Amino acid sequence: MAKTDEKIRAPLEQQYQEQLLALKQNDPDTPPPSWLLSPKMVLLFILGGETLNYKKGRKTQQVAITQKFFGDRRLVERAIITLASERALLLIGEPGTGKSWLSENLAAAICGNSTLTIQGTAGTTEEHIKYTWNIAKVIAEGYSRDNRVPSPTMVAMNQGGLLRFEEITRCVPDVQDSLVSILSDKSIAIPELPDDNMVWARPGFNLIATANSRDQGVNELSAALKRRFNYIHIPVVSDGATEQAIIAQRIAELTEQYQLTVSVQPDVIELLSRVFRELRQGRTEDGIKIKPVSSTLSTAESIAVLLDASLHAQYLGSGDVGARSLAENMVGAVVKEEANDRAVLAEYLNTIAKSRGATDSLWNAFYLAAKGAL
Amino acid sequence: MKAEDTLWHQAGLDTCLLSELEALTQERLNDEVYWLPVRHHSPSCALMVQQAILTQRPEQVFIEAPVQYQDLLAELLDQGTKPPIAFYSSFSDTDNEFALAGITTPSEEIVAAMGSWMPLLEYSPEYVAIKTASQVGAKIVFIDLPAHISAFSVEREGEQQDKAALEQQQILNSRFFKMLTQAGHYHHWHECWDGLFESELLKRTEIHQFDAYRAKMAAFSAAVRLTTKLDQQTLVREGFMWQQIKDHWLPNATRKPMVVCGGLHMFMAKKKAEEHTRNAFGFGKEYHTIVPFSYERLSQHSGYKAGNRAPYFYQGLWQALIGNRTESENLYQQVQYLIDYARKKGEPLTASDAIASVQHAMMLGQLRHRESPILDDIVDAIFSCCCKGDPDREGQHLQRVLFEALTGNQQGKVSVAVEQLPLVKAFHLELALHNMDSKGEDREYEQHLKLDIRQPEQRAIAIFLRRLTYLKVPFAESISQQGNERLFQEQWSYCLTPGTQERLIELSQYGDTLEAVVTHQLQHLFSTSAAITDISEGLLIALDMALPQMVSQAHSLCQQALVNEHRFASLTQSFTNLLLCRQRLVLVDFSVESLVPLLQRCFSYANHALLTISNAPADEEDAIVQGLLQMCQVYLSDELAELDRDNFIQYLHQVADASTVPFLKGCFYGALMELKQRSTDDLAQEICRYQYTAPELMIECSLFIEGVVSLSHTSILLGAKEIVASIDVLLSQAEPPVFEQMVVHFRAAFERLSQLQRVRIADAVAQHYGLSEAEQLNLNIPLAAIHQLADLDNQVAEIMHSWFEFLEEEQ
Repeated sequence: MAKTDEKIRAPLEQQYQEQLLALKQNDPDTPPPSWLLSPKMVLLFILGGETLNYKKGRKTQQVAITQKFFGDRRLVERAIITLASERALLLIGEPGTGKSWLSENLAAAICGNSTLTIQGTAGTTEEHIKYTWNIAKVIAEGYSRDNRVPSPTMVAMNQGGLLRFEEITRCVPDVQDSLVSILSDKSIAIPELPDDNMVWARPGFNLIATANSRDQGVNELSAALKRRFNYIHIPVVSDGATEQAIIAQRIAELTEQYQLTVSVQPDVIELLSRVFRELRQGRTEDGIKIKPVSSTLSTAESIAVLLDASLHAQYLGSGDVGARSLAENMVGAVVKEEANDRAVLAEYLNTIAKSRGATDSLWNAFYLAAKGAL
Repeated sequence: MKAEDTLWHQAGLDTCLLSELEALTQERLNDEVYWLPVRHHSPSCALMVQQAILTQRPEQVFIEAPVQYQDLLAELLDQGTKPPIAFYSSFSDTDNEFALAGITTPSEEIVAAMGSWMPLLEYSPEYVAIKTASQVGAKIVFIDLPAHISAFSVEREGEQQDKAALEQQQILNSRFFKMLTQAGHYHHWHECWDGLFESELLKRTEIHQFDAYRAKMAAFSAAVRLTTKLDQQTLVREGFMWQQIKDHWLPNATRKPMVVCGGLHMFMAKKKAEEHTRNAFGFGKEYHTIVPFSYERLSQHSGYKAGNRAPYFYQGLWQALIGNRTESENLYQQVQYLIDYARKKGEPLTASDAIASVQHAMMLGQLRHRESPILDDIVDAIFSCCCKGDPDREGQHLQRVLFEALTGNQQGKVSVAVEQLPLVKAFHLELALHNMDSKGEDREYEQHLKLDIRQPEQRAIAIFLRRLTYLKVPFAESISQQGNERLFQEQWSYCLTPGTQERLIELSQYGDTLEAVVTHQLQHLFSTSAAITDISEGLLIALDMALPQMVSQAHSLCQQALVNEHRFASLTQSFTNLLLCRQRLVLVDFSVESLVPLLQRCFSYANHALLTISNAPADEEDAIVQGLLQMCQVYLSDELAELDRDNFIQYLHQVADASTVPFLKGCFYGALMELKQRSTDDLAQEICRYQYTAPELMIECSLFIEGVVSLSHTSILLGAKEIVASIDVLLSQAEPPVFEQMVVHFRAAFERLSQLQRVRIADAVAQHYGLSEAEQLNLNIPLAAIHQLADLDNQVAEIMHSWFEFLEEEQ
């Protein structure tokens, strides 16, 4: 039975607490106002690659700064600089490219709090963004500061922290535009409290928003709001080696989190990554053109498939994550949005996977299992 | 200099290498010559060179530039010469001394030739060195090997590369650079250079900082040199350079001579030049001059491999350096210029975007451990602040305009004292000869010409313009003709542009006159073409440009190529080309007898090829129709009685009967009708056979008729009445869905006819349905009209007579 204080997933600032403390101890530069770390240390936290000495009490230990984000270094640099400037940050990209993940890591590193989050949906209202009231207390006592329920925005402004706004383009435009004054004036007006009618943001306050480029047309930002954001586009990982590294690292973390005992071999990861990449790009690594599928087939989805395969292998299978369990869990990820994707996958299996299977037993097992699953 | 303070330490080079590097660098920095290691087109290197020469005032300055340009110094320093310009050299190995004809060229008749440029910008270290040395009265000596000698005399593996591109490649391949890149997280060489060197001097306050800069350059160059594999070409060049320095060293100089050269060459081995390089100076024909250049050409993206990625941007940096502007002032100015340019090109950018971009660039520069923001930081900042989406989609326009803004459109000027290349001179002489020059007026607008090629002077102009067009010299364009004037009239528009001279300069390596260059290009075409179509087309082009001397070469190549050609379309096209060649030769009084056997053979081969096309695939149909039309035209003409026409008819009958492809069957049938081998009655009967057949056969019949109409334009009109009647009966038997399909083919068929022919068919259809009635008209022609008609008849007779004169002369 799970303990009451156990969490499925702790906030990143807790998960990586030791790394953040080590970075703080070794930070040679002065951070911007309200930042826990300087921009260079935030960059190191995100990209990893060094081992630092961390003095804990009387002991000094080595703390490896792990890589959190796999992608173009320049994107991360631009994101960090944007958050230190007057403009807000909008991370945009295909689903599963790591926008939310990067947003969370940035918030954890910069202000030590990645939980000040607003989830954008069609039902998001201005109250979710600004503040609301404890109605019962208002009726009893009238409007007062104590009866006000601050939104994550207000909390971030008070603390000089970072607000995370996920899927901003899913909100209706009128609700989005309530951010205009927040980003311009760095304040929220509270007309209900004449004597205490403004909440001013402390230095360090900023906003990281994310938007799905597939849905950007749903509720595109107004020109006024766009101007207050710096856009950074996160592309889909196109490099095979990088993608495999991401999957390997992430699946190791998830395996530990889910207390799985199965192990995933590198060639299985390589096969999964290759299939996804080829179907996504519409071209095999040998240069043969194939029909692409309409689904995104992002790295996040491939991680999800591998996790499903691992869970299946652990609890219902033989304990090995092989091509068979991979194939059975992959079909649902590939054939998602359009019925035609089924035919595309079948063609891929019959033309590409089958021919590779003639010389590679892993591909052969994958081909047979996937055909069966289809 | 402490090793731990240097780039070597940053890159993480091993300690045993460090001591070697330190010794090497110190030795050269304190050498008997004062080395000034530079990167080409680097503003900061240019400033270092300028300051060094001004402060030390050497008596002699050696510069890494090809020695043959030494005699152009006066013109380079002339007031009328303004960068961007280039030293240009064209070389042709006329006596094949380098023995490369047939090895690097497609045939032994074509000698090796090359053109080479050495661009010089306002901020090129070499240009600044020349100007400054001249200012202090120092003797300037160029020391580099001419490009053609190092290219032709040194064996190398792989593709021939421009010198500057080769040097850059050696840097990129060095272990030191790879380690430095990894340590510094540089994405490419330009970022590495700019970050380490380019912006450093903006912060200078003391003169000794130039010495520190020079030492840093030396350290970098030494590390690259020791960790890369040097190309043989580089070593040969360095031997020559050192020899030049030794040979020209002033014996009584009181101060160290300076050497301005690429960083790698600072550590050249002090050895004698190789003998073959010194001996190669007497070979071939070489011209050199100074030519205008442009930033666009220099930009990397135009194909100049070791070009400058943002010429105008670096010009701004140069002006900031010599104007003593601070790094902030330089940054504001650069960003403001880029934002302003983008706004003028339609980007919705404002002053707040400029402010945000400046702030962003500064912070990015600091995050990336730079002394001050570089170009990459500025561009990244602008994209962060101004591009609202994916840079590869929403940012495409912004990318384009930024590239334009960073490249600039500066064009250089060259003093009138500079001698033109022979080809350029020949071009201008010919312009003047034909009264087509601007006569000293500095205007560039389009002029128009109407030429009657029967007049010798105007024919000469036409040939001149055709040659330029063939060589893709942007100067003139032919305006297509309509109506009766087509045969002897040509209309052209022309306008002198900067591209005209650029292209002529590029071509100058192939000859001194337009005729020589065109001949060279055609020889190249003949040497690399195996198909008779290409060769015959090449010959036709040659004759259009008045080069009958190419006939014998083309003729023997056609003989060889004909043996390997089996395709009907190619054979008929080649036959047509050769026929036209024959006509051209008649016009210039050249003997045409040698072409007759070739034409006979080609015709005969085409006849035989007929047998292979009876069931050709649909994608070849258009070519077959054209081929058949050409053959029919020849058959009906009186030319070339030697051609085996009977054979043509025999084979045509055979394929018409054998073909199972309806459209092609119709084409063959139509050809036979046109040649009066089958009548319109035969056709009408053929159509009638399909009246009561299955729907798919009816549709085939419509395809068949389409094929007939494609070929028989005249005969179908003569028998329009019968054909229309039979088609009417056929269509009346067709069910509506079948009718709809058949109509598509009929429509396609009639669209192949001319307007007049369609009107005639339409008349026949109208008469068939009784829709038009003949009217009796009484025409009363006045006497004046009769006289006018008679005059017109006389004029037509005169024209026909002049045409027949050609025919008589030919016979």
